[in-house]
Amino acid sequence: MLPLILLLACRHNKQNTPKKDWTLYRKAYAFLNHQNDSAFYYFNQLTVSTKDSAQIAMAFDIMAMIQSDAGDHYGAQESLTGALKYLDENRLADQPTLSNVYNELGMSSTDLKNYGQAIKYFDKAYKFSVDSNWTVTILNNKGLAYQNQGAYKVALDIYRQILPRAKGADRARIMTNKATAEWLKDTNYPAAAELRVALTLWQKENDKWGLNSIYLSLVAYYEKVKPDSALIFAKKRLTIASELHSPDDKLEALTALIKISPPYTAKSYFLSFQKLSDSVQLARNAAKNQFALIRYNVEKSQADNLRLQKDVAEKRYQLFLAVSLSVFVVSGLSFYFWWRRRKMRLQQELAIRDSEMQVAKKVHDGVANGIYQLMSEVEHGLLTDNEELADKLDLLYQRSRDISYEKAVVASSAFDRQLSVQLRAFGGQNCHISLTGNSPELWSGVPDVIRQNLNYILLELMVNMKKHSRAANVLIKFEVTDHLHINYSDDGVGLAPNVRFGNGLVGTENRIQAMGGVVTFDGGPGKGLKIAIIIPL
Amino acid sequence: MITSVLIAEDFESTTISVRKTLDDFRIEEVRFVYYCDDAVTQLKKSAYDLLITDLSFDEEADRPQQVKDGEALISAARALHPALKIIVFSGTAKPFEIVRLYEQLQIDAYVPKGRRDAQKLKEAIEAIQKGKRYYPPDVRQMMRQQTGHDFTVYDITILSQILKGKTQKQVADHLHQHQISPSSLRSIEQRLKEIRDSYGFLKNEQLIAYCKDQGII
Repeated sequence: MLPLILLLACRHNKQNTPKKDWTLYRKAYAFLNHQNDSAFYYFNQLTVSTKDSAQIAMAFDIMAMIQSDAGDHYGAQESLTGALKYLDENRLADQPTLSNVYNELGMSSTDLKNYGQAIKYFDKAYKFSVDSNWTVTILNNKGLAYQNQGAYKVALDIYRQILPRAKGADRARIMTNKATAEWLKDTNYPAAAELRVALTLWQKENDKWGLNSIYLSLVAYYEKVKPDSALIFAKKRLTIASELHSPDDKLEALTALIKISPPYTAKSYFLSFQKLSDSVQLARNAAKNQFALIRYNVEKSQADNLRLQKDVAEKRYQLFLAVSLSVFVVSGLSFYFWWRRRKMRLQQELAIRDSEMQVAKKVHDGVANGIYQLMSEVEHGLLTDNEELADKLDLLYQRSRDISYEKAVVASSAFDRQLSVQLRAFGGQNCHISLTGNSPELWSGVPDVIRQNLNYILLELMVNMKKHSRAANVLIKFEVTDHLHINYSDDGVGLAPNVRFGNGLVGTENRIQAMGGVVTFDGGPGKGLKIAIIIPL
Repeated sequence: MITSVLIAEDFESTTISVRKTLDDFRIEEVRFVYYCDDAVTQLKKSAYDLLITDLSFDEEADRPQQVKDGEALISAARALHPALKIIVFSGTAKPFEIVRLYEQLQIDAYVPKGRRDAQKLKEAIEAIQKGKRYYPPDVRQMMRQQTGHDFTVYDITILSQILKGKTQKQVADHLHQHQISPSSLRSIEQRLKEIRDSYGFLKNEQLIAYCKDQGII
């Protein structure tokens, strides 16, 4: 039987005007026809990276072409179905691509010998075609599907209808198909003339695929009537098929050559055929696997990407949580410290203001009033004796001096001596006061304010001791780490149950707390008293 | 006998009491200075028998002083003339600070400015001439009250060594080895006596037992 003539129309690769980012599309397109696997790779990338549905559809369309050229027809159909998902039949802009995709589907269906389905696809392609030349191409393909089905009459009707409108390659293609169909319908039909015209047309167009197809037809036609010519055209076809790197066509050419060559040469063709046939099978499987692999890899990396994005998002969320938590904690802490320091400062300021007011009051009550009284006594001649006047003035002098003493700040270098003298002065015949750790080194690390406060606090404790404790032995230990530790202990009466602290001790506690420190009182009745003071430095 | 006296007093607070008192003693050389730096200059030039000084001096903007107050002047004077007698004549010190001046700076007398200070100054100079110290009444009382002891690291080292059973000779060796001074046997004995006295103990054993009991060592 005659081999089926496959003269499918070339693809309609009309570009839409680029509007969005077409960089990847152009890059992929640049590989088309000479490095199809790279083109396929980039088009496939495009289908997952862009959001432009028109580009995706076109990419799938071209991927399908690459696949069907490599013989991966099922893969091609898969790509085309993919393209359809991105196309809207109601959108005018999508219609050229839709037409293209349906035409491609029809062609791959023809390749898969599923002619009924192919005709349906070509009808759809026809429906969406907006270009009369393109319509001719589609109709030619449709005719070919009928022709392959054996419906030569329908095919010939179509060819006859479109032939007058066709030009160039289309015309050559249709002429070839028509002549073949005529001849298949009626073996007596003189197809040679038409085929020769088509051949000239193809040669003029310099279309290798066209030449390939016309040689096929010529071989088929001349095989019976003119075996010599058939042999020449068969050899030409093998050459052009080799040039086209089309293994299918090469195999067909070899089949023809085996059939029509003289037996001594046929054997070598047969060997080539066998070798090629095996490698074609391999190549086809490889092609299928290759394209499937590219798509699989991209899908996988896309899935991996999504998972990674999810992971990253989760990690970001965790990081965000950790960061916000630490920010919260840090700001909370700094606020707390700021608040505490502010509180301390305010209390100190308040204490200073209080003492300043006290000083003013003392100056007024104790000194100014006294001077006024003395002045009026002198004025009214009540004081006649100089001695008496001097005594009264001395009293006022002492008072004013006492006021000025109260604010004196003792230098840290002398503070240990001051404390030692002051605290031990509370002792006596029956009360021994011992101190340890009280040294200039210890106090050098203690700020003035704290020293001043501690002076008051310790004096208050000693006053309390002297008044209530009846202690015979008192020990005060000083120690500095990062805190200042003061441990007071005596062997007096200790704390009575439900003891109520007087103003002095309450004031002591307030002062210590204002410095951020802690004080604890310990010791039941008869057990002596222990006081522990800890002040942060 | 006191024949030469240097008086350092702030110009503003200069008193007639000092002048009058010194007149009574018929002292040959009496020199007044108003600034501490001038006092130091005088002390460098010639030796005096007695220094009478105030504690606080007004800070003069046009004459910034290197020696800024009475305490610094006393230290400087002692460094120049260790045998110099010193009277602090001031109105600015609290009793415990005065005690400190006696203890730390080894002053010979403190006379508070005030009513009848000329009389007190006279008593002070008389005491000094007899080789004694003079204490104002309230300070004397305060010093009498001073019992117990302010234990230094040095004291605690000595007492701890004795508690371990070391003899005083061995303690002296220990101090010497650790380069703690004074490490002489005599200074250790003297220090122990001082501490014993302040508690009224007669023997070191009593002191050690007390310190152990109290948790001092």
